[in-house]
Amino acid sequence: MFCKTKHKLLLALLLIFLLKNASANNLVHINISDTLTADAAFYLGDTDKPVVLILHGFMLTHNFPVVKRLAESLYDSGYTVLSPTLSLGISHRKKTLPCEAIHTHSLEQDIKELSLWIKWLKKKTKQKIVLIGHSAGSPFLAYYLMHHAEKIIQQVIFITMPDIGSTHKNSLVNIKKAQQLLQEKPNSIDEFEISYCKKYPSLPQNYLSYSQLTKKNISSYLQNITIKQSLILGTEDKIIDHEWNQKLTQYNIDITTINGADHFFDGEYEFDLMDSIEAILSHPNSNKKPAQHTEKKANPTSSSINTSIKHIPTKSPEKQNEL
Amino acid sequence: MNYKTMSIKSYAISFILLYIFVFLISSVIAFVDIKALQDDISQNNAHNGKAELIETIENLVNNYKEETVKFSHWDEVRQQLNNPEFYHYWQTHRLFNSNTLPNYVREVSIYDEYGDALSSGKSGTLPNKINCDNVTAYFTISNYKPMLVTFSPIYKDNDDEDVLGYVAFKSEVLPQLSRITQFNHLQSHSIKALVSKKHTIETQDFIDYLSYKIQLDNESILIFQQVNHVFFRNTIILVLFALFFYFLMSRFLSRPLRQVSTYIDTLKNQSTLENCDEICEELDIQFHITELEKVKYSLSKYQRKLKTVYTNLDEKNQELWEMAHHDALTGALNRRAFEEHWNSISELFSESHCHISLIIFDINNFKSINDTYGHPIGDIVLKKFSCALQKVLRKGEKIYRIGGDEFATTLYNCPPEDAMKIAHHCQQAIGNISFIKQGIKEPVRSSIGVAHNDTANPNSITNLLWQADIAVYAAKKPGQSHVVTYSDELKNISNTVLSSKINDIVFNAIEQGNNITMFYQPIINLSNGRPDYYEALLRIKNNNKIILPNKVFQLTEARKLDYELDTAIFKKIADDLKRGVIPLHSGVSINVSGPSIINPKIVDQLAIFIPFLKHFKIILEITETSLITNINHATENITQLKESGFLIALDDFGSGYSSISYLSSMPVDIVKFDITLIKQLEDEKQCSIISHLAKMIMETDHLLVAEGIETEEIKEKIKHLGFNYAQGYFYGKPSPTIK
Repeated sequence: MFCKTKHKLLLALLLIFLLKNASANNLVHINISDTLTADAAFYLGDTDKPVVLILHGFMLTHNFPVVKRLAESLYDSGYTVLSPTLSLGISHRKKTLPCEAIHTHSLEQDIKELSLWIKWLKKKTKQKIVLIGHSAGSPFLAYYLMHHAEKIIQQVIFITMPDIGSTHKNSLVNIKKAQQLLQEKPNSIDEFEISYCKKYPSLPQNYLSYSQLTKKNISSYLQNITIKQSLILGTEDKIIDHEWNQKLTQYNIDITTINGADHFFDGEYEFDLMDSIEAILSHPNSNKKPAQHTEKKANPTSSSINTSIKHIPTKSPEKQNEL
Repeated sequence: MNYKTMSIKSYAISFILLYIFVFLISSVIAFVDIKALQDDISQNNAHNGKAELIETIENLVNNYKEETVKFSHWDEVRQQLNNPEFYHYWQTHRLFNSNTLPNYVREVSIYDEYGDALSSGKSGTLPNKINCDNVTAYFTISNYKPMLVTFSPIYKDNDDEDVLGYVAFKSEVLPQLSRITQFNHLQSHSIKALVSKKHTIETQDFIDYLSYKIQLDNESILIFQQVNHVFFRNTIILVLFALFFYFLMSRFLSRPLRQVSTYIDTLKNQSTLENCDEICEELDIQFHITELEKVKYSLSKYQRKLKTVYTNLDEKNQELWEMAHHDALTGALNRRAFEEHWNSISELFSESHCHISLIIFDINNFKSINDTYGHPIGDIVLKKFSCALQKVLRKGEKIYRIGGDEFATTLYNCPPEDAMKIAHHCQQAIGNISFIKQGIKEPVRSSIGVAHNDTANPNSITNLLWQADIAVYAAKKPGQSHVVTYSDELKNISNTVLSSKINDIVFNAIEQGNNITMFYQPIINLSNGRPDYYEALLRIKNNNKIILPNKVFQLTEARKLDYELDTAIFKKIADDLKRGVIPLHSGVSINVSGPSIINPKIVDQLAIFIPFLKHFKIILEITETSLITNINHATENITQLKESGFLIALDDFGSGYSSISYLSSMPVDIVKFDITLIKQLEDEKQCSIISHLAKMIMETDHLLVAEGIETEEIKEKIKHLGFNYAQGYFYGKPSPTIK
C-alpha cells in the first residue's frame, strides 16, 4: 500500500517537472528585417521578480552551455529569462558562427537586435530588466547601456569582461587594413584577425565596428553606466589578462571573484556563479555604492542549492572559441 | 568349357584400372554436379550482386539526399540566401573549407526560391536553374565518372513550410559505393560506368549503366577449392594405393605364386627326384600369406611323399624288372631278358667281325623226370642245372632260361674252339651234378647245341638262334655227341624244321587233323600166311604230294610236338576203324612216340580205342630207344594200357641198345626186330646170333615180328627161326586202303 502511494507521488512530481520544462523551452522570434529573423529562448517566470536577459558570447548562441544553464537556473529560481541568439545576419541561426564564415554582421546590428529584444521584453512584461552578459556579451551590454539608457533596466551583471578590439597584438594593423579597405573597396570581404579568430572574413566596416570594443572604450562605457554593474570573475580565467581585471576594479562595479573558476565556470563553479548572480539579483539597488570587491570561495556544497541542474558539461566544443 | 586364363598381375592391373575408371567416372559426375552447383551459386551471386548494388545505390541516393538536407540546414546556407552578395566569395573560400560538406561532394549550388542559381553562370556543371516542382535526384556520367545530383529545399525556419531556396550536390558515386557498403556479392572496385557521357539518368535506371564483377562466395570458393583439393588428394592417394596394392600383389601373392609355379615346373622337368632336396630349398622362403604358406607346406609335404612313392616305385620297378627278366625258380635270366639281350646283340654286332657264339642247353627227358619224380624234384634239377652252368661260364657271361628245360648263353670275342671247350666244360659240369639226394637214379644228361657266327659275314649273327636250335636237335639224336656244333650237314634238318611251309602243314594237321592220311601195311601171321593186323603209318599230304614221315618227325621232335601229333594220329585211326577201313577181327598197330608214352594223359587219349578192342587187336608200338630211356616213366602207362587190352610192341629192336636184360624187364608183348637185324640174316654168322637172340626172346613169351621182309629167302629164314609175324614189301606196301 505504501509502495503504491510512493510510486504515484513520484509519477506526479515527474509530470509536473516535465510540464514545467516544456513550458520553459519556448523559442521566440523577432523579425530583424524582411529577410532576417532572430530567435531567443524565453522562460516565463514569476512576475514579482525582474526579468533577466542573458546575452551570449561572441558568435555563440543562447544554447551555449553556461548561458543555457544559467537561464534555466534563473528560471528555476522564478525569474523570467530571455536568452536571445544574435542573428549575425543569419535567420534562425542555430549554431555558433565559425570564424571562417563570412561575417556580414556588425556591432551596431547586434545592438539593434538587443534593443529589439528589450523592446520585445518591455511589451511582454512590465517588470524590471536585469541584463546579464557572458564573455563578449558583457562589452556588448556595456556598449548598449552606453548608448541606450533605459529606465526599465535595473542592473547589469557581467560574467567576465573581455575586450574584442584590442585583444590581438596585430589589432592595429588589422584596423588600418580595414580602414584602408573601407576607403578603397568598402563592399569587399577580406580576412582579419579579431578576438580569438585568426581568419575572420568580414567587410572592413563590420570588422571596425567590433574593433572599437577596446579596453579603453569599455572602460569608458563602464564609467558612464548609471545602473548597478556587477562583474563576476574566475581566478583561473586564462583568456582575460589579470591586469585588465584589476583595472576594472577602479570603476563602480561590484566584483565577485570565484576562486578556481575559469572563463566558463564549469562544473562546481557553475553553482558558485548561480549563487553569486542570485545574490546580486537580491540586492538590485546597491550600485550607488563605490566599487566593491567581493571574493567568493568555491562552495563544495553549493551544488545542492538548485537540484534542477544536475548535469553540467565540463567544457563544450563551443567553449574553445568562446569569449 | 575352356576359359582364357590371366596372370594374377594382369588381374591386379585390371582391378586397379577398373578401380581408377570407376573413380574417374564418379569424379566426373561429382565434378559435373559441383559445376552445376557452382553455376547456381554464380547465378544467385549475380542476382544477389545486382540486388545488392541496387540496394546500395538506393542507400547511396538516400544518404546523399540526407546529407543534402543536412547541408540545407546549415546557418551559412541561409546566410547566403539572405544575403547572396558574397556568395561567390563564400563558395570559393568558405564552402569547401568548412568541413561541413562530405568529402565526396564535388560541386554545390544554391538556388533561390525560384530555382535560379545564386551564382548564375558560375555554378560549374550543375544547372543554373532548376525546376522547383521536380527537384529529384539523378545521375550523370562524365568521362566514365558517374556523379549523383541531389537536391534539398532550404526552409526559412524550422517549420519546413516556407521554402527559402534549394541546394544541389553533385557527388562522386563509385568511391562512395564501396565505402557505404561492404559488398558481399560484388567486387567493389570492379564497378565501372558503361558509357563515357550521359547527362541525366534516373536513379532507378542507373544500374543499367554500370558494369561490375560478381564477388565469388569465399566460402563457396573455399569449399570448391577444398573439394578440388580432396579430389586431387584422393587421386594421389588412389595412385599411391594402386601402386602399393600392385606392390603387395606382386610381392606377397604374384611372386610367391610364380615361385611355386616355377618350383612345380622344375619338379615337372626333373626326370628323377634325385635333386628334390635342392629344389625344396629353392622354395624354402617365408611367404607372407597364410594360405600360400599352407600351399607351400602342402606342396613340400606332397613332394616329399611323392619322392617316397617314387623311391618305392623305383624299387618296385626294379623288382618288377628283376621279376620280368629273371626266372624265379633258377635265378637265371628268363626268355624275355634273352630276347632283349639278343635284340641288342643283333643291333650291336650286326656289322661287327667279333666272334660270337650261342650255346643252347637242353635237359634230356626233363618232362619224364618231372612226371616221374614230381615237379619239386624237377625244379631242383633245373636249379642245379642252372647253377652248374653259371659256375662254368666266365664273368659277364649270363645264363638264360629260354624254355622249360632249355638254357642259353652267349659268348663274345670267343673263338669257336674256345666256345666248344666251354660247351664241353658245361656238359662235364652237368654230368657231375649229383641227384642222389633227389632219388634220381638214372643220369641226367643234356643236349648242347653250339652255333658260331661267321665273322666274315656280319649278318650271320641273325642265324645263330636257329642254328643252335638245330644243333640241339641233332645232339639229341641217339648215337650223337651231346655237344653238337651247327654245320652245313645239319642244314637238311633245319630245312625241315625251319621250313615254314612244312611247319604250317604239320601244325595244321596236328591242330585240325587235316591232310593226315593213314597208310596201313599188313603184318602177316607166318603160321597161316595171312595178314593178322596192320601197322598204321602216318602220311601227310601236301598238294597230293606226301611229306616224308622222317621230315614230319624231325619237325615234331624239334618242336616237341610228338604227343600232339600222336593224338591227331590216334583220332585219325579211330576214325578209320569206325569207317571200317581196317578189316573186322584184324588189328592195327599204332606207333607211339617216346614223349607220348610217358605222358600221363596218354592212357586217356588211347581210351578212344577201347570200344574197338572187342573186334580188333590193337598194338601200341614203342621204339626201343624211347622205351629204354623212359622205362621208369613209361612202365606205369604201359601197364594200364595192357590192362585195358592193348598189346605193347617194342619197335625197332636191334637198332639201339638191344639189351636182353632190358627186354626182360620191359612190359611188352611183341618185339619187332629192326630191319637192320633182319638184313643181317643174310650173313650166316649174324644169322646164328639173331637166331639165338630170337629164340631167347621167344622163350620169354614174347611174340616176334620181323620187319623189312622183301624177299622169299628172308621170309623162309624168319619162318624157320620161329618169328611169329612178318612185315615188309614182300607182303605188301603201306596203302591207305586195305584189300
